[in-house]
Amino acid sequence: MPRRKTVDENPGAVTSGSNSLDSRSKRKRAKADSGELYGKPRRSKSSGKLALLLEMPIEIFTEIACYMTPLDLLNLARTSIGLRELLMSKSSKRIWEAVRLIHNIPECPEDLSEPRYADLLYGKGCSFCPDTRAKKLYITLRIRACKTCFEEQTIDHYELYGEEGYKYPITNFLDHTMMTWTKSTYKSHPSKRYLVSQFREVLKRVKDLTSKPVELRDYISERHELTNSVIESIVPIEDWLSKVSLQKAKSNSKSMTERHSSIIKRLRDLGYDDDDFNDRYDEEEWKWGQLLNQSRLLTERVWQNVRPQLEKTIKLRRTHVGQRIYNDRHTERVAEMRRRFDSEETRHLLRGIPKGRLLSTGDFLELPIVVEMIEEDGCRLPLTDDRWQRVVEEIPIEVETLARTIEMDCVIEFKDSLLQCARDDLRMLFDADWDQEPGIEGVRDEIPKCLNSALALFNKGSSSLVNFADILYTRSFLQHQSVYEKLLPWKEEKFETTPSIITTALLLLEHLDLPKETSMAFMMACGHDFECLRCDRDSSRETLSWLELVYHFILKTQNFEMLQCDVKKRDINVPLRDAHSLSSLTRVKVVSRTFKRITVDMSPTGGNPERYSTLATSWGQRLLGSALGSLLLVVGKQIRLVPVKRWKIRPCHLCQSLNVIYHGQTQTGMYRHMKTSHGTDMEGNVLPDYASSSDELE
Amino acid sequence: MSTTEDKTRKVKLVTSDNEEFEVDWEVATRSVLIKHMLEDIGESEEQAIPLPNVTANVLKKVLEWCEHHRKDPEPAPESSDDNRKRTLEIGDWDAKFIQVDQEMLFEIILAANYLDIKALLDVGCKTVANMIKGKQPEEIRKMFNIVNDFTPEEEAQIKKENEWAEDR
Repeated sequence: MPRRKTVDENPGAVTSGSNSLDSRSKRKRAKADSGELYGKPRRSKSSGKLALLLEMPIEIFTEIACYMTPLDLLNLARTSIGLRELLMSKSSKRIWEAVRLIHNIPECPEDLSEPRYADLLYGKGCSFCPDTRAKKLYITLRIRACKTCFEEQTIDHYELYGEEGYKYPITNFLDHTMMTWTKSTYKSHPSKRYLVSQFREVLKRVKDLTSKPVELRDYISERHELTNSVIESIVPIEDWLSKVSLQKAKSNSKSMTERHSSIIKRLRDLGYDDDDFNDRYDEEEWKWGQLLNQSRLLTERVWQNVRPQLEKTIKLRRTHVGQRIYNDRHTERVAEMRRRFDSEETRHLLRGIPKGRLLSTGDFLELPIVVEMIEEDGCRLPLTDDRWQRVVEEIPIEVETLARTIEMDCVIEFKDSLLQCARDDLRMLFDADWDQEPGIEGVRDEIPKCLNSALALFNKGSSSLVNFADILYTRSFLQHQSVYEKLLPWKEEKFETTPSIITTALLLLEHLDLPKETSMAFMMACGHDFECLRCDRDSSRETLSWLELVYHFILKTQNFEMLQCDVKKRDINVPLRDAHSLSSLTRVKVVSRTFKRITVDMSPTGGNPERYSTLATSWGQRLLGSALGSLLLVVGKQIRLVPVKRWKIRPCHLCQSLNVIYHGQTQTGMYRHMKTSHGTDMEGNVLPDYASSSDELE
Repeated sequence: MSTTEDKTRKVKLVTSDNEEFEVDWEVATRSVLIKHMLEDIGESEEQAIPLPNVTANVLKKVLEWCEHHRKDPEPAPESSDDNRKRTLEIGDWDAKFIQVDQEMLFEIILAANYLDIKALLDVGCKTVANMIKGKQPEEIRKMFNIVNDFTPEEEAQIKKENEWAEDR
């Protein structure tokens, strides 16, 4: 069988001197040549790997080439003069066609050669400048161009008016003779652009053929056909490009996923865990995503390259963001636990335990068993049904403990303030309560005696005072409210009592001729039957509850002190007296329970002690609240609200001079105000009885 | 068409280095060349078929492929056409089979071409094509052990010039 012609026997297929049949000597020579051209030759795994291909018969080479991509053929044709001559010869057309067929590329348009078509579809750089980065493809114009070149090499159809030769009737058949790139704009007129070179060529031909009408007609007809065929070729090419782009995107995404999983698996095998892979708090310069999310296959070589970089990032994470990642996990675990406590199922369970209604989810999240479960294995363990069940089993005991904490916090607060009052009689009154063990076990129903006292009043920052039962009721009510008024965990609840509250309450009891042992139950049973005798109150509707009464006197005293300060500061000569003074020097009653609309079937110090079980009957229910009016107090530029009766018509001129608005409701009321608050008559003249500097009302 | 009798027949093949292989008729006739030769010599069972362009070690490898693909349907006549629809896929077994050194790879391709075993030729060609796929000119030069004989100017020029040589 005769030996067939090989690729390297094709004239100039490879470099000079490569025609030898001895592949070994040829390879050696090629390397030497390579060294001369590119400096020190590099040895790589692929070096000479396919050298024998060039010794193959041309039909074999052709057969192999048929399985490449058009881009491979272009690259192959750019390796050497010989291969370029072989592949860019029309005799190789069947290779290009086969390649096109194998990749489902639409037919090569008539106006393009196969290599140019391949370059148009697969090439990257600009068709005009040396820029090799990927550029936009304009299929109609058969170019790829960077923005600058596109502007330079194309012309807008409006600009054609300025072009030399416009006088020729070319615009009449412009669209038929030249390829147009059309861009839709927000205006109604789309922007059309033509290739300048093509435009000039057509213009020149038309100019040349002006005197030869037949030839001109033939030329225009020929251009017309060409333009039509270009237009026809666009749709299939665009369809193919979009298909390829979609396939590429899919394939990239798949490769990326594979690479990502493969890297993570290898890192896991090295002992790293999920925390090490968390890139949420990575600094910009830490390499992670760019190494993982690539479509490039993870070969052993690639892995060896990326591994140190990934491990460096993991080390940085462990050093700098480990705590934040832990915090995230903690937040997630807390949220899981919170969802369980907020669920209807758990709420139902808590409604079944009376004291359970006093506690918020925030309280439960502080429970030792919950904290332990959240933090187990560095907050890595999700809350499964089994683990949650362990928490549920502990709830009844924990509810009792938490309720006891509320009770003891109130007792301690009251005790601290009471001891500051320096009243031994009071201290002795509640001594039994102070000695109770806070950690007492079992369910306790009885409320400590001190919290049942009429003196146990607490300020919660609102414009009134509350008692212990109110604290419990409010918590039980808010537990069932919407998100707008969430129940705070007990430790975040702000409440206080002060020696001044206790002292005021004690003095008011004395004014009411009630003993210091009077219970809160008795005072609450009296309802709104109390009256301040120093205020301008003219009807039974203006009466106050015990809590309101105490608060009223505290507030009035504060206001007086503030006014006194202001008067001193501004050096104003306005007579001022504390109308609500409860000083022991006062001989006149300042309060009374005169109305007695409600019959109280208990003695002030009698009755059974309050029990949780009794109070709990109203927990979680809406009760009618009491509303307080207010008086606008203006001191300097500050505005304060003080309790007020109703709209008054005659302002006190002495108060006005202090920037305080006070309206007397009746002549009598106004007279009382002038006397008690200023020690003057209606005109502001100091009454003889008050001429001394004493603040006390005689 | 092969008969049941044909399938039980043994065929003797003699390589260029005078090694004799006795194989089933069904295996041997994966090669169109051998099939035609067998048809030419008729019933003469004893006559060995000389294969002067194939060495023993290459024929052994080729017969391994033929053995594995003995039951494959015979290629359709139109598939011999140059414009036949080609595919890029290589079967798993074939991909493993063709993992050989460069010299053996090209020997198999040459043998497949000579013996007219289209499917094996395709496997070989696809394998080589895949090795070139996606490579830049410089990488291809390295693989082929050839030097760049373009001047830098020519190299820049050819990137823009993609017309048929005859049309330039």
